[in-house]
Amino acid sequence: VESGDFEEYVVARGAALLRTAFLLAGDRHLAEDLVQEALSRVAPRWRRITAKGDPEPYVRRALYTAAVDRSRRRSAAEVVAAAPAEAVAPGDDADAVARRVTLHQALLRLTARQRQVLVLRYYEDLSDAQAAAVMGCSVSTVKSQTVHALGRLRALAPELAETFGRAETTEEVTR
Amino acid sequence: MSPDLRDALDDLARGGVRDVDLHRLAARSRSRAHRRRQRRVTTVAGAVGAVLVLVALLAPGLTGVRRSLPADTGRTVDGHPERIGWQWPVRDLPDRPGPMAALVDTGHGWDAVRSDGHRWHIPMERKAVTWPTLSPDGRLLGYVQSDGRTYLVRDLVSGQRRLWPGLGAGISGPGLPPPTRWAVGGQAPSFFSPDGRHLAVNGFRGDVKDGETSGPLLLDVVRGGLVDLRAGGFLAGWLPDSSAVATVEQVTKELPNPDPRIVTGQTVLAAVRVHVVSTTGAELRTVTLRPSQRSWDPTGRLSQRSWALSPGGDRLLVVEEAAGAAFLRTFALADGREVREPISVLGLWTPCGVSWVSGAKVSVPVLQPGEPPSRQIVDLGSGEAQTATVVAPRLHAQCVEVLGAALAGSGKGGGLLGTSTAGWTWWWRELTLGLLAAGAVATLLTYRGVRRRRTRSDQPVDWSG
Repeated sequence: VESGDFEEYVVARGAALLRTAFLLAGDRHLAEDLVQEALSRVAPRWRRITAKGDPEPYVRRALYTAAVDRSRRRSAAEVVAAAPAEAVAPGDDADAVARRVTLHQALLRLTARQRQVLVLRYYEDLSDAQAAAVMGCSVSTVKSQTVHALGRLRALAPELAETFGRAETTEEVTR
Repeated sequence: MSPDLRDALDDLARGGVRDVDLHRLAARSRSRAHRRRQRRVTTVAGAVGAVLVLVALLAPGLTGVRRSLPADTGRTVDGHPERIGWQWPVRDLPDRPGPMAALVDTGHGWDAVRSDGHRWHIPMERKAVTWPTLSPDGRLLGYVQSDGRTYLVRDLVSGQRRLWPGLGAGISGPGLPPPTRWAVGGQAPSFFSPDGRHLAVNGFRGDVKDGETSGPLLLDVVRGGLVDLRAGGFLAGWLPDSSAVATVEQVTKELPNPDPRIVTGQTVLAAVRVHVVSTTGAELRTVTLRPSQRSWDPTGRLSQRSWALSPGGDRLLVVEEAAGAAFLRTFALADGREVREPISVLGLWTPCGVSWVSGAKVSVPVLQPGEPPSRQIVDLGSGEAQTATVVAPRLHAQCVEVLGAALAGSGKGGGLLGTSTAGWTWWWRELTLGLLAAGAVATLLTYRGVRRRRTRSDQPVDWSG
């Protein structure tokens, strides 16, 4: 590993990776562990990866693969119940904090796959096809998972319904 | 897509992970990658090591090349083979293979067997079916060479050889050269003296029709030369001080002919005499065996391999085959009296001969229908029998002779199988190799599957939204 290049990349892109990992894992420490795992998977091949260009797609792919692996290993009963450690940011009003906590708790109640599809589609701004490629499933599965995830969020946090947009049926999204 | 949701997720994520030391994150990631690589190297090294160990364990039996055992470098045999199995290839006996523990007649000739069961082919004559002989310590081997006209004694430790060109197998026939002056009896046993200086063989004059002269011949292993002891009977063994040999002579008598129309009467065993003859040919004493438990069975049969002198020279073991059963009978050499109850041994295969191990323990050949030949140790006191050596059925062996000194030592080469004769135990290498091959194929297929999944999941994705 070219430690200089690698470290530069981590310093430059680590925060973004951690944010994605936080949304996938729901916990700051788990997010750090997930990013470490993803980076450790690409580190041995860093020179080859960077020779091909931007390493970001490889790292992101490794991050999601690590998240899937972790969700497979964890038992279904295992739920991250911790509230966000940094729920209150400087200058936040009470409503902003409440919305943040509600969204976080609702995300934690989703399955790992549902969280993943929401992060890919609405946080990473990927298309259905790109999300399907990352998740290793079909486009229609991505669409249906998205509908189910949004529906569940609406049910879990009705006060944030505006945030989640208009309800769509499975038929509509798969058309 | 909902911009509100994107903003909400971004807000949540930014609040969730603040003030992370990214340099530490990079260092820890590198460290984890290093540990992962170490684990992988260790796993691969362990797997390779396990395969190498398995190959090392299996290869000797498959290739016939075994690692040297301490017995190879020793001067005497120190144990006996528990299993004499299939081996490929079976090479000719080298000059200095070390002491041998056993001899086995495989149907393709005689093989010398090391204490761990490794076999070498003895390049001896096969037309007259003479038998090879081992010295009591397994160091000397005597046999008629493949030309059928020369007797050879080999020192298996030093590699030295001594030849007796005039002592052959007694083969004669049209188109063959005239027989040698002396010949070794085909089925009769030969005995090395305990000190290894002499070899006594049952011989006959090969150049005289009908074997006019037959009896023990004495070969001087150290200086060469051959002496006709001019004694009657077949050899039974040596006295412990190597000063004399014992021979056994069967005395028969013809029963009165009850029917005058029958010209030939019935010949039955009347007595058994033991002659003790010195190495100079002087008869030291003659003893007539006195069966005390019951007389010799008139219909019984004694062969030239039916007796063996104990290592102490004070007991003579006689195998009497009568009424479809074989009995072990023990006599004192001093006065000829029978000193133990006869013992019946199931499946005792009399043509292969018996021998002493130590004390009251003797070694007998056993061959039962449907079973491979084996060698059992029988306790003359208790009558208990214990299998010491078994031979693989696919060797088609008839006889296996194991030295008494070897049988007194520990069993070797049996591993976990011991002396089991179950069919699969003779194919354990093939079965293990088959399982290994199946495991390798399964591992390969699994590895390919994992690689394929990993490759798929490692492909970069176009991340431009």
